[in-house]
Amino acid sequence: MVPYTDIVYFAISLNVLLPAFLFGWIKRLSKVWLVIATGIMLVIQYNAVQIILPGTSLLELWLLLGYAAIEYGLAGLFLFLRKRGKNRPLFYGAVLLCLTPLLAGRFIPLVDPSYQLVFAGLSYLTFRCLDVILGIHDGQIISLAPIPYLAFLLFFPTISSGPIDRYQRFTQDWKHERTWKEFLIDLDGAVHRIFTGFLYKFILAALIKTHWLDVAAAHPGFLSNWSYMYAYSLYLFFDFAGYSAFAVGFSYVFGIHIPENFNRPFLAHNMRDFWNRWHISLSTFFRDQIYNRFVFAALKGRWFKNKYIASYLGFLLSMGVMGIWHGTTWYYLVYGLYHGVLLILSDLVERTNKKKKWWNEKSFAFRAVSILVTFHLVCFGLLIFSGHLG
Amino acid sequence: MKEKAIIMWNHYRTAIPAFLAIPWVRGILLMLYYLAIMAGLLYLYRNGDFSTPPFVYQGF
Repeated sequence: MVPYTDIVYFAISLNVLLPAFLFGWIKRLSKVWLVIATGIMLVIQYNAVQIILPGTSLLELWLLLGYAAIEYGLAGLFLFLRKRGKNRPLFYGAVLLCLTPLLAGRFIPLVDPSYQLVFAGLSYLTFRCLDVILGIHDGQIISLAPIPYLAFLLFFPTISSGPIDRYQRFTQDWKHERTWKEFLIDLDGAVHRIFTGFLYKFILAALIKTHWLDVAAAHPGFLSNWSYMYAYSLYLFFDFAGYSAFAVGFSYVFGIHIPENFNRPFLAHNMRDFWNRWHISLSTFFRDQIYNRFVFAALKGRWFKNKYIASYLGFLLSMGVMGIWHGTTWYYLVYGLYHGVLLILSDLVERTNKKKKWWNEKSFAFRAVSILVTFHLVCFGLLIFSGHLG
Repeated sequence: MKEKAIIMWNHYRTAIPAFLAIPWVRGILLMLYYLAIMAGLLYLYRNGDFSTPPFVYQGF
């Protein structure tokens, strides 16, 4: 069952949300119920039978639970060995093992399409597992109890498509006992986000899809493609922001404050600003775990003479990985590299303008024009992402 | 003229958020917002088919 897409899902969810509300009200058993609710919802969500290879099928739930058990074992073993001292090959090995299920799921079907190892949410689960491995490596995670780890990994509101939470942030909420006032604030936030989810996904995205996107897709030609570009950009935003609003809202009922994923992205005034507003949990993950680590290592090891080269290669690397993370199709890679190049150009223009003072960056006209230009660059990127050009 | 416009702009820029932050005003506006969304849902899905277009990011 796909979360947040039909009335049946919401009707079922109500059966776990209402007790969560009651346990939150009486300030008892909230976390116990979070675990039970996650178990119930996973049984419902992962009830499809998946043919993983010819002649072998498995219930998705078993695939998921097997994956979670292996990842917990890997993280626990890495923590045990990490406590004996830092060991770089061990760290790389742990990262590689953590990525193996996703890489196998993505690339083996390219060679032999009869293997279908990917299950819903695998790529998002990989982020969470990787976050724990990196946290252990950095010395920020020093203990790993099974229940909080599995609750973090399998938390049902975010399991299939994020937002991507961080283990240390999750455990803060896990340990925290909400006061009455905090409970009411959470409830207010939950109701508001769930209604916003309905507005975005069930009204705006549905209307755009039926009356604009499908119409534009049916007519070939330059103007139709141009129209399709706007329609797809708005559709993707309302679809995904609506989904994220539901996920955040559901999480708030359980007292888990998962990060927001969108913050008015089409009002961004440059590409860096855009990535601080669009799919925020993903872009923050790539910035922290790929871009920052790469640039830090490059500067420390003096790989390049110019620090900007390290930064620009970091943009290309992190955005390229971001693109290929979406899938192995060419247009995802092009989409990622396109954004890498835009980030470089955006930085070059900004730095040059600071020296030459071509325009006043604080003027209203400049800001209006930069928002318009950024919006179009973003929309064109999403047109590539849509695969409509291929 | 320009100064007067700036003064007015600054006045409304602070006055409107302050007005919207008054608890009963916020409560009424939120209630209207939620009712409008419910009305929209009832209108769009009145035929009983509550399914939506596929979620784009589900595939990732």
